[in-house]
Amino acid sequence: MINSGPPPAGAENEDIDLVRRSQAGDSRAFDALVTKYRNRLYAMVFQMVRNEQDAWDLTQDGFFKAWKSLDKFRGQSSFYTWIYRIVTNVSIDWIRKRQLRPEGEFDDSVARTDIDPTADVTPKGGVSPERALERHELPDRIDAAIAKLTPEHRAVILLKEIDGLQYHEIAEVVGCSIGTVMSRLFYARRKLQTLLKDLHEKF
Amino acid sequence: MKNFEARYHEWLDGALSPAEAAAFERELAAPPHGIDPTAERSAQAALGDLLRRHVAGAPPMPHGDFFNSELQRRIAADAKETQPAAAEPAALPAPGWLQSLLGRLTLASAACLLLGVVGYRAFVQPQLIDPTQRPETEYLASVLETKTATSAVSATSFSLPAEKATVLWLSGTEHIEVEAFAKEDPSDEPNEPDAL
Repeated sequence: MINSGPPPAGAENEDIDLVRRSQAGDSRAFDALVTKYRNRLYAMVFQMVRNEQDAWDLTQDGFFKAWKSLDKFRGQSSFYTWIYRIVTNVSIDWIRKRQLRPEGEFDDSVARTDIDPTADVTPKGGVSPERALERHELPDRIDAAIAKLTPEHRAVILLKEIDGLQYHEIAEVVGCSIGTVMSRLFYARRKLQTLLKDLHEKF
Repeated sequence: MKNFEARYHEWLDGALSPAEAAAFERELAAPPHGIDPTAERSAQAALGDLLRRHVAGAPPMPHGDFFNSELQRRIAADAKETQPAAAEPAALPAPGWLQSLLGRLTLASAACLLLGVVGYRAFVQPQLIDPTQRPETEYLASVLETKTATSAVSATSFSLPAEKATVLWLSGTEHIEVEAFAKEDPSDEPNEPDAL
């Protein structure tokens, strides 16, 4: 089980101490920070890239980049937000470089029926709900739907819905205004809602 | 005035007052959005649940300990790469032809300067000293000594700027034998001293 959501309030003080020691060159303190956040960050990266090995490597690159930039961390935001920002940006850059375009990856018969995003009922398609229940189809459908989002939209919806970050934290992580976060989040929600409508209405 | 997306999220999060929420729901249902507020709220809640359940089923990070040790290895390797350059002074580059030439020119310049100083001290500076303060001209005395037949003869010179004259004073000529003069130049008469 992935431990999602922001860290408890007391954890920030512990982080500050570990960061100070890390900045002084104590690699064991940094190791403690890595152990603390590696699973959450890996889960977030995995949702973005949908591949275990790539997620592992990108999380590794993100932490390594954080170690090298540690002297630039001034404590103006929490370490949690700061490390998220680095790892998220590493992932977004990687997706852009790979030119992962979600179009064409999503093969779903329901999608062919041209769902109206504002429709409040599931259109009658050729796929039965029982089939949608199939164990392997559900994760694939969600993965494919997430993959259809742009890297920026993907990041904000995952940071909000999976990691439970506040809007201002998401803004810090992705490096944009709160207004932009809300705008991206709105369109990400609408698109996922369209793509997964038949699923989330049944579950 | 907040934009539509900002108000949408405040509505979804329950951050609007009842009056604001009612007004927003009317806006949501009206064109161009045409979204049923009740269905929208439940759809977004279901979407969030679906995503969270999906992530909960995601595989945990494999080989977590190896992840840490690999990261430590990279950090150590990076430190090893950067530290020697910082700790050890940069090696001096091999002297090139320009540096070799400059070195030789420097040595030659130093030698010339040394010779110049010695020459100045030996030949020029003595001439610049106020002649009234110079009782003897050692150079002239030395020349005369080599010409005299006996070391008993000495020469002293001094100048008198007011008279624009230089005086050469010889002493000890009485010790020169007459025959010596006769041998060199029979026409010369031996002189009694001693002044020119």
